[in-house]
Amino acid sequence: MNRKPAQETGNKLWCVGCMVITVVLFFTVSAQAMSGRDVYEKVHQVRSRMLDRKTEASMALFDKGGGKRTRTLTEYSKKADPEAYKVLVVFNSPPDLKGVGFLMYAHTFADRDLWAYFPEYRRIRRIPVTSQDDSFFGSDFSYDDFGGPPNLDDYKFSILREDNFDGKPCYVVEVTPKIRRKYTRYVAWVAKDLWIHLKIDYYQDKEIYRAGVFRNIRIVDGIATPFKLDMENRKTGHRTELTVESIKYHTNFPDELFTQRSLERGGR
Amino acid sequence: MIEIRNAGKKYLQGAREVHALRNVSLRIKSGEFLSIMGPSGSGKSTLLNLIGGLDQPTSGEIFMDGRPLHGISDDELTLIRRRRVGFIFQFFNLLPILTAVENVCLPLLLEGIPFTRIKPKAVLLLEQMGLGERTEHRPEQLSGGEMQRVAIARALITEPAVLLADEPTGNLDSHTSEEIFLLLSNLNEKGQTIVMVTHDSKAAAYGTRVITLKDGALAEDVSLGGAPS
Amino acid sequence: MSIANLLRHISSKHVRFQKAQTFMSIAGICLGVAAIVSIGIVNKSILRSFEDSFINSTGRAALQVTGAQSGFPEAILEKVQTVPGVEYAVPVVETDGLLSKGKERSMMILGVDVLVDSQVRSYSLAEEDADIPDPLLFLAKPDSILVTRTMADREGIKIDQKIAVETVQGTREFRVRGILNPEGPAKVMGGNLALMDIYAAQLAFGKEGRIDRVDVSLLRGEKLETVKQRIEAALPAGYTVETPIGRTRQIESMLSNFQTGLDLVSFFAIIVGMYLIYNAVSISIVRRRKEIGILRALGATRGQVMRLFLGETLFISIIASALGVGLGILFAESIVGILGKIISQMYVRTAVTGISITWQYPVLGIVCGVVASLAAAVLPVLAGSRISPVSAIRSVPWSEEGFLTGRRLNTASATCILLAAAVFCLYRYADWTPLFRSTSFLFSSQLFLLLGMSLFMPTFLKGFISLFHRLPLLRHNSMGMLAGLNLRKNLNRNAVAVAAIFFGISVFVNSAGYVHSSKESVMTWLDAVVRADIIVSDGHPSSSTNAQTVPMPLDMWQDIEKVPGVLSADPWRKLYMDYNGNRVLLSIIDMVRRAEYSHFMVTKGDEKKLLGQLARRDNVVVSEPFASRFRVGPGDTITLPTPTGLVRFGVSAVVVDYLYDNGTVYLDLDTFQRHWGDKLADQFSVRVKPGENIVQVRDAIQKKLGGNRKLFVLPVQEFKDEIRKTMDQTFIFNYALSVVTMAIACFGIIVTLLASVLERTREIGILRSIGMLRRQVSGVVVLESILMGIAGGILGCLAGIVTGWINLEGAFRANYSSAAEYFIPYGSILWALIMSAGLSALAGIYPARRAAKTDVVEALTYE
Repeated sequence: MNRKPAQETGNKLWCVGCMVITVVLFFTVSAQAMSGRDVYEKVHQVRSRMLDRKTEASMALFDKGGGKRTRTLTEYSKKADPEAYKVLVVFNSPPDLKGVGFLMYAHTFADRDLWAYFPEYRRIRRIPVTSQDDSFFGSDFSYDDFGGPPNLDDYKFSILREDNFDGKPCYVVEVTPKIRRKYTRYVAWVAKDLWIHLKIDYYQDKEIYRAGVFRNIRIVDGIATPFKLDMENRKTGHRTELTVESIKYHTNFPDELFTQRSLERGGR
Repeated sequence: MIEIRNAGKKYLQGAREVHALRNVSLRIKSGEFLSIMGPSGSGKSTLLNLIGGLDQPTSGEIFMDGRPLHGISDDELTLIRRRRVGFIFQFFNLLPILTAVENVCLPLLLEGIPFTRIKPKAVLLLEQMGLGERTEHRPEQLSGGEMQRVAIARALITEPAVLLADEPTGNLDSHTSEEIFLLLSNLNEKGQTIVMVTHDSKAAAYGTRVITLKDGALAEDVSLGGAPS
Repeated sequence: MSIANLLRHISSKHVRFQKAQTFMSIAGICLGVAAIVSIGIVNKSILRSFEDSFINSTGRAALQVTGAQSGFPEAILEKVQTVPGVEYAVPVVETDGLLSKGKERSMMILGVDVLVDSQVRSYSLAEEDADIPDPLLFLAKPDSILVTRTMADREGIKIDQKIAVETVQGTREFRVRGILNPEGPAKVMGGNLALMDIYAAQLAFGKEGRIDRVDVSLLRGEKLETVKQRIEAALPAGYTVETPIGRTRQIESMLSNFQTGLDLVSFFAIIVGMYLIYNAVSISIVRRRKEIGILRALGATRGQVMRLFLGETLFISIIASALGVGLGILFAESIVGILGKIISQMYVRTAVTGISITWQYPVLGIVCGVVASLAAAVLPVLAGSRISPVSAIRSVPWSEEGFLTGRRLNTASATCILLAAAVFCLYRYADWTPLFRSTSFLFSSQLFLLLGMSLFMPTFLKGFISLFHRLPLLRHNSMGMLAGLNLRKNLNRNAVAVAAIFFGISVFVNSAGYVHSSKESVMTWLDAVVRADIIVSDGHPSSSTNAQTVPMPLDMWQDIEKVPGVLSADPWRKLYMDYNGNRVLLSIIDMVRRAEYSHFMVTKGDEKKLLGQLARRDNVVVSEPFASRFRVGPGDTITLPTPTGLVRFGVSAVVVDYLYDNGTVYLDLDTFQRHWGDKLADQFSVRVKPGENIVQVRDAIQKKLGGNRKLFVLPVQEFKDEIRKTMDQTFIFNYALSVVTMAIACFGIIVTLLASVLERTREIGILRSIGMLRRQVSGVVVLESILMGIAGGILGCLAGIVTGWINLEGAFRANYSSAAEYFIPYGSILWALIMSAGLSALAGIYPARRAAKTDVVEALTYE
């Protein structure tokens, strides 16, 4: 009977040790593994910082016959609240489109109002909410693409794998909307550490109907920005290339810039 | 088998009333070959028409095998006529659009019997008339005598109780006429009752009895063989 | 079974050997059935195309809101949108467009809010459903237009190409910025559709701030009736909230008159077919009389004989009806396009592209064909079955007996005529119900009269013949006597042939009288009221009531007045509207300026005070048809729907207006603009300075203003001539009808005489044997036909005079109280008599020849 107490203590220690190691390992590992949602929390953060900006860009539209149309535009964006933001887009060329513009108020990330203005009619027209997945004025981007960050609660996220794209390591995340959208889900390549999209594939059921690629990433004002955005509609064979000519962040635009009056005046 | 009692027939011609037949009484026995003679307008044809059920008397009664031919509906008269009487006319009265064999089949076609069932019998009759080669010919392709023989075959196909002939040889030459009379005579010898209207006494000689009409009434009734009846 | 026997052996041979006769019978019924089937199909297809149009163009819209014809304010849209239960309320501008050139120029132009419209309509302007390379450009430019693929292919239009379209501002060029695939609305109007953004359409067609329609889709779970009532409550009075099917029903009732007219034509065609069958069967019976006798002698019952002939008719009618159905379908395909155009012009825009064949019409056609044939054949067949075998074999001349005795016919005739008189009196005096005041009521009175008189025909014929026999010049002429006697022998049968002539002549004289009398009145009125020198119009003046013109801007009058030589130019605008379920015309005139040179023809009301009451005030003047139809007079008020709601207008006077039977309301321009806000004009009345050459001024106007738009600039005389021509055209239909009837009647004469000649073979033989010449034989027959023609002609003229009077007193006077004197058209009557005698003489030639050809010997031995 004298040996048992020592052995007992030894065993107890060993068990505790194992438990501790297991617990420590668990926390370490879990501290490193990210969920899809986590990734997008980061994306959301980065995007929110991009909300105050001015962009000059040119957009080229290619139809399936190879015909090309170009237009240039200026985009103003302002963060209005922790949750809200406003965007004003004005076209500068070609002459037929000069002065055509689009104004968006996002009251929350889920609740947005959109208006469009056409100078030859001198009318402001409202764009109904459900059209946000439709093409932004004939390009292959949707109104949504031009807006700010999405509301995280509207989606489910899951990481499919890790991958490399354009020489950068990425998380490949599958994002499924909770409410009905034009796409059933999309798969995004999110660059690690930069937390911006490099590539997105939009699915309708099993097929990719829209695919976007974002290249030429530069750091401007401390924010990683793609300077070349390509979006292709596989269903129609149509393609849009958006090229950023210049971009400035941390702008501080007045609220008056984002009114209907301003829309009519083309942002002046 | 045919009994006529005080039969009379009158009709209107414009505004005038004509008495074609007055008060004729007559009995015809089965197997007789009766000739009806008399001047024109004496009512011979009218009497024949009454006997054959082509017409109904305006007064008096007519019976055939006990069945009345007077006071019955047109349909009933027609049926009796169809089944129990055979007609032979002076002008043949064949349907020009039908072939000989079709003409012969006609009375039975009216009964609703299919042509294919009647045809063999008709062909047989035509052969008996010596017209076996002519069954598919139409009347325009036949001579007078041939036409009349077709008519006789037609009259016989229903196996009638009585055969009526109205001046059957009026349109035929003497040679052919003789042939026809012989034919009729043969039929009578086999038992066919025949009533014939004629103005030719030679024709009457083929029969067994002669009656003469005058002004719509019976004038004479003679059994051939000699004694008046 | 026996009938099958008889049909197989006897009838089939007749059909083979009497090809001409069989053909005639088949043709008659075939045409009648073709008419029924084609008209039925066309009517149905027209309605179906409306339904389809509505369904296709309305998509998910459960309800549609419409208002006054020239559009209502956009603000209404918001009112509808906020009604609980409404999911989407999308605005629509709908207008007619005319391509400046092309194979098929007219089209419907839809202006929709392309950003929201796809919520309701079943197409999408994005991606697959349409080919629009640059939607942004489409939205940004007011000259953007989309056309359907059908139209693009047909006219050879490509994307980015310009097309020229007639608009209110004149000819405008639009750029085709996309092509719609044939789906949903693009199928409407047979693909003759163009789509514009609603604001672009408003600009181009003078409808700024106004829309024509709001299409509403409902939230799920909402009840149609409830939301409908809510919308109605939310809107001012004068707006209609209807389901698309409801609108189809409206169109249907509008078209019902037109369709009834078509139905009458098919009815007429069947009557003609029956007439032909009647004749064919009659003559067949006559020809085969001996055969019938033999069959009866051999023991065919009357029933068997009847069934034989009816069976033949049945067989022929089934074949003819089947052919008629096929012909009818072909026919429908060829006329449906034309009828669609007519309806577009007269009533409401439509394009019928194809025919929809349902099984009902072919079946109906066959049933009608068979029943009509049998009905037509019954009488002659009945007569045929009564042929006694004795008379048939002996060729005893057969005179018609039957239950159609003279006395019975005369009683029936008198009853019909009395009925006609009663109906007319009801129409004239018992005018409290619309039932008695309808045109069909009046028409039925005329029909009864004609029927009554035709039933009287045998008696009339008899009397006519007796009269003829008493003519002194006949004392030495036996041919006349014979002709009369022959006709008398078959009075009923001949009366039918004469009745056909009677009918044709009466229609002829009727129209002549009516046209003559009414035209005078109309032209007199026109001269009094239309006092301008030149009319400037956007459409052809003869189409002044049609729906397909593009109006001009109101202010154009100023441009016209600047043309040298012009004294003044004042505008005229027309608008159709529904008033108490009828389509009435709103005629808008600048009363003050018009009064300077032209006046209304006032029948009720104070003419002197008129201008004061009308100018700029809410008073109107109504036309006589309007006044009598809706029972209003000076001092009454009427309520008209305007874009802003219902407005009451006082009736100041009742005036004469012959141009629009449904009723016209005259309104001052200023008042109209106050309530309707429409700044358009359809015509300008131009006065020329005294001494100026009208033609020169006209050319100047055309040159100055006709450059960028289609204009019709007419000296007023030409304008009036156009109206006169239009009036004549509407009566040409009647003339054509009577000529056709006469032709058919002649045919009837030929057949009837042929039958009669065949029956008389023996008699002709006897006449020839005693020395009658061939030409005398034919002379008798021709004389018979001339007598028939003249008898029909005389009675027809009489009937025509009376029915013309009925039309005038009835239809005309009911609408226009001003006396339209009835001019008996003596000239036409003379012409009618000549025509009837002449045509029937011609008809008699063939039977006469047949009669003359009779071989004497054959005829005498014929038994």
